[in-house]
Amino acid sequence: MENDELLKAKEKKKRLEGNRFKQQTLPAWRPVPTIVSSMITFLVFGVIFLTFGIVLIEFTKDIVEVEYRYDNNCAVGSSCTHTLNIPEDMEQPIMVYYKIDNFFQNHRRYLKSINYSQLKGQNKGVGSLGSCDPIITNKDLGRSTSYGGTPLDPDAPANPCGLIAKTLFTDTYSISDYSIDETNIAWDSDVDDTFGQPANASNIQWVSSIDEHFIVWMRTAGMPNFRKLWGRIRTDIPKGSIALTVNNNYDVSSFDGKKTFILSTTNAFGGKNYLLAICSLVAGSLCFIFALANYLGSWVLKNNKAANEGNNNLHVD
Amino acid sequence: MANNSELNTRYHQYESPLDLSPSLSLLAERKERKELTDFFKFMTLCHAVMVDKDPATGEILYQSSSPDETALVEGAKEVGIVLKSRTKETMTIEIDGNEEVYDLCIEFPFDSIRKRMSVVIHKNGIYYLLTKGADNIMNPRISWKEDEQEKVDFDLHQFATEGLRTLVMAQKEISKETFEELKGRIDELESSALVNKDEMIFDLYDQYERDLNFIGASAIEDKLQENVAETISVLMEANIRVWVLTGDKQETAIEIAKACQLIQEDMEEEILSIDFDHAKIKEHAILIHDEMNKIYDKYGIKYTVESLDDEKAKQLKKRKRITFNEAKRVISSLSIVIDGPTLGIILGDEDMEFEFFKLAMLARSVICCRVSPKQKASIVRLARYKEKSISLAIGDGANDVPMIMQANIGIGIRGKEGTQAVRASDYAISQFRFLKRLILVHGRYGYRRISSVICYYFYKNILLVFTEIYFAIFCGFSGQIYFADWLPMLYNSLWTSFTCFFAYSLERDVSSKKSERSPHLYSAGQKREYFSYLIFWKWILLSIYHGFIVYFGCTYGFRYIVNLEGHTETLWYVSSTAFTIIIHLVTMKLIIEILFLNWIVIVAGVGSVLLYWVCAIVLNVSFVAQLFQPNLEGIYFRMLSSIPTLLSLFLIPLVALLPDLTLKYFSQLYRPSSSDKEIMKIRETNNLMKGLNSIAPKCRTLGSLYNSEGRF
Repeated sequence: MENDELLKAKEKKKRLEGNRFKQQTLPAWRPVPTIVSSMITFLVFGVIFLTFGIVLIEFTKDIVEVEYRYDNNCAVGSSCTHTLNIPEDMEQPIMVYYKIDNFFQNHRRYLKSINYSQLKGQNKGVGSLGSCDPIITNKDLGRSTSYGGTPLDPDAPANPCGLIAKTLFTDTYSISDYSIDETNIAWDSDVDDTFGQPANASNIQWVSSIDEHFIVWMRTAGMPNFRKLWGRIRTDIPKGSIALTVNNNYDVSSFDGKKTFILSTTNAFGGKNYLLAICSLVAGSLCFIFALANYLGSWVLKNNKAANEGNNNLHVD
Repeated sequence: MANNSELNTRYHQYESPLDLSPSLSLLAERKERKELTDFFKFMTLCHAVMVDKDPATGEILYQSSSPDETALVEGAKEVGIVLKSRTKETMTIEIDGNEEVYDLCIEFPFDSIRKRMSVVIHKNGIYYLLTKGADNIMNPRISWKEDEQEKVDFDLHQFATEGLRTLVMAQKEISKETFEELKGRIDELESSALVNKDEMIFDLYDQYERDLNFIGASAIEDKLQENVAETISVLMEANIRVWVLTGDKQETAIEIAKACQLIQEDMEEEILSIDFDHAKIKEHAILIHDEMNKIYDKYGIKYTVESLDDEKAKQLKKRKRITFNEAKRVISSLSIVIDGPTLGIILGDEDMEFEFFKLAMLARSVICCRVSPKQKASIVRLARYKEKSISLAIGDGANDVPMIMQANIGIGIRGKEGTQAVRASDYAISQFRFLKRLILVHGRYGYRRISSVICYYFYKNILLVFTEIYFAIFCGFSGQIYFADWLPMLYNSLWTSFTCFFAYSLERDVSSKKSERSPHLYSAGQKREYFSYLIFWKWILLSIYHGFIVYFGCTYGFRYIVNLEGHTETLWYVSSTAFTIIIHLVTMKLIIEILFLNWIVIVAGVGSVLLYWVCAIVLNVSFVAQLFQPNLEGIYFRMLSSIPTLLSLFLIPLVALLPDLTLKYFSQLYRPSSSDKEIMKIRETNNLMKGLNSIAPKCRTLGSLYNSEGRF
């Protein structure tokens, strides 16, 4: 009987000892850097970064972008025409953007001032539009006629309500000889799922909640300086100049903002932005510098060691 | 100290009071002489041993919380006096086949303060009080015959210097009246509800344990467990100060300390002990200070302990002293021995505690003998709170419990002394020698792992929070959240915890064997190479920097990001990309930081990131998004279809990790810590061994050639 128990105990011990996980003797790679391995690492990283940097720059270079700031030379409420210089041929589709600076669309109170069910097309009473605070009624909004032309009751709920809707961007653009396509500028998911209209919309809404410019505006930007799509030009624009007419309705002077009109082509790498490319190039060069420093360091280390050994030998003698 | 007591009955070449003839065996001798019979009878009667019978063989088994007592009863059995059974009221012993029954009337249990125990037994109308205990306690209670005491003292001293544990036994007859009076008073006290009941009972015992007649003395070898000496010397090599706190008397303690390498051959023990008889209480401190100064003088240290009576001077001194450990130096040949009564004067006086620790920390080892359990605990407490050391207490007996509870780490050895120590301990081991593995392997691994995991956890959370803080600057400090709610919620619970859980529970720098063999690797922890303010802040600063790279990389990298359709993106797209980059970044950072990459860690790391992607894709599907997080609708599909975003998911973490990688490589290559050096050395020898193994077969062939030739 005792022998049995002993055997069992031995078996158990064997089983436990055989379990490399429980005994913490799993095979593993223990990377301790050596001068050669760290140099290789840095060189590999360097090559990766530089390749990315160069590729990114090449792609970004292809994009043609034309910017024109107009808020400072066109009075609010007027219509002005400017001549824009096109430095290079632009291939269609050419994106038309407006850019606003110093507008905090990401402010917490601003962002929260919206009512999604109303935007979906439900008619909501004043009492259930608390989330739109401080813009709940037509009075708060400061509008007196619907987009269909009927007068609005000042105490009736604003439709659409809220700060985001109230600050809707209203400038319009036209370019002589070129037509701007203002359709399909909003995200499909927004058009399909998020925005809708009640039956009598033209009588109670001050702006159509399925208007694409409105939907674009309602998709709030993350940063205080942002661009939004206004339309597309479906024909190529050759090098030269074009005439831009702006209906300047939107006041940005109250918050020291800027308004800019932008024409831009696109490619697979998105818009014109050198930051990632520069980051990549800087990181790549740093990697090469570190590799070099490592090489020099190893050289110094070796010399020191040799010197030390020489001293030791003298000492022994 | 290890306590694997085994009876080693030796009858010393006593000259007096018992003359034993060397020709006779102890059994025969015992039968001849009445005083020997009395002595062994005493051993079978005065104890707290319980008798059990093995149900299978009928053999008598003795059980006791003190292995010494068991040893004594077993010893008596060998000379023909057997304890047959014990009930609550009676004890039956058998002497050469004749049974004798004694009534067990009263038992004064053993107590580490009283250091003695007594029983009152009754037979044939005569009451006996039997007392046994430590010699210094027993001496004043015995009425000695002329020059008997000197002889006994001499022998006890001899025993003690051999490292044996001694007990003195004495008894007296008491009359029936005295017994009844005693019994009555005990019953009365025990049924009372007095606050100081225990003290009064002790006083009562004390009154009766007087004028005893000397019966004999015993000496028991306390056998050391296996590899105690080796374990202790390894611990000392690991720069751990080893102190022995024992109840044994000075000579015994020193002998045992020598046997277990605490006092090594090249070391000298300095005894701190004062003579109480010739000093008034006020002079005790001065005497101790003198002793300390002698030691300082001897080792050429310019420091003098001053005896300050003036309260003002004391206050001044107190203000000057900030911490205990001013001097980190150690005199490698010094070992200090101090006894309990002297320690009793030191403990409780803040000034003297300071001076004692200052001196004791200079020594490589300290032996405190004759200390009570309470004193053991106060020494540990002092070391822990005043000296600000991390203390570990290890013991096996009930008297070690207070110190085990007091220490940072309490370890109980499961031995013959019962399970009190084990039950009070944080860790229990069955052999003292396992302490080596516990400390050098598990302790070191544990410390390394916990230090890394703390830093890493802070790092990954501060990184996330700092990204939000950078955003706050750009949203007018309006409190707008950056990441969609569900993402940070699952960040710690699902997507980043498994990796660090597996990585750091398996993390190790060198194998357990190597760790056990290189005790100086352990001191890396003491040198704060694993965790310090500097290391902690390095992690924190790097996480702030990583947050910076991630936030601004995403914000300005995708500033006006457009796809081929020309749509611009929202906050949630940028923040979700940043979040994805953070998930990639913290996983990569972990892989860089750990030294132990095995398949479990890799599976956990890759698995966590994949899990994140699966969760994210599910969350961003339209109808799920509408349920949980409308902001995320379609975002991940768009992320996957945008080439610059995909690039940044890997490029930005690499850019962020560049300083980490550089710092790590450069510090390990050009300013390696002692543990780095050790690891490099171990790797070098490993490579060497590999090299040797590859040429080993050739050597063997050569060897066999030489052998067959009969040469070499």
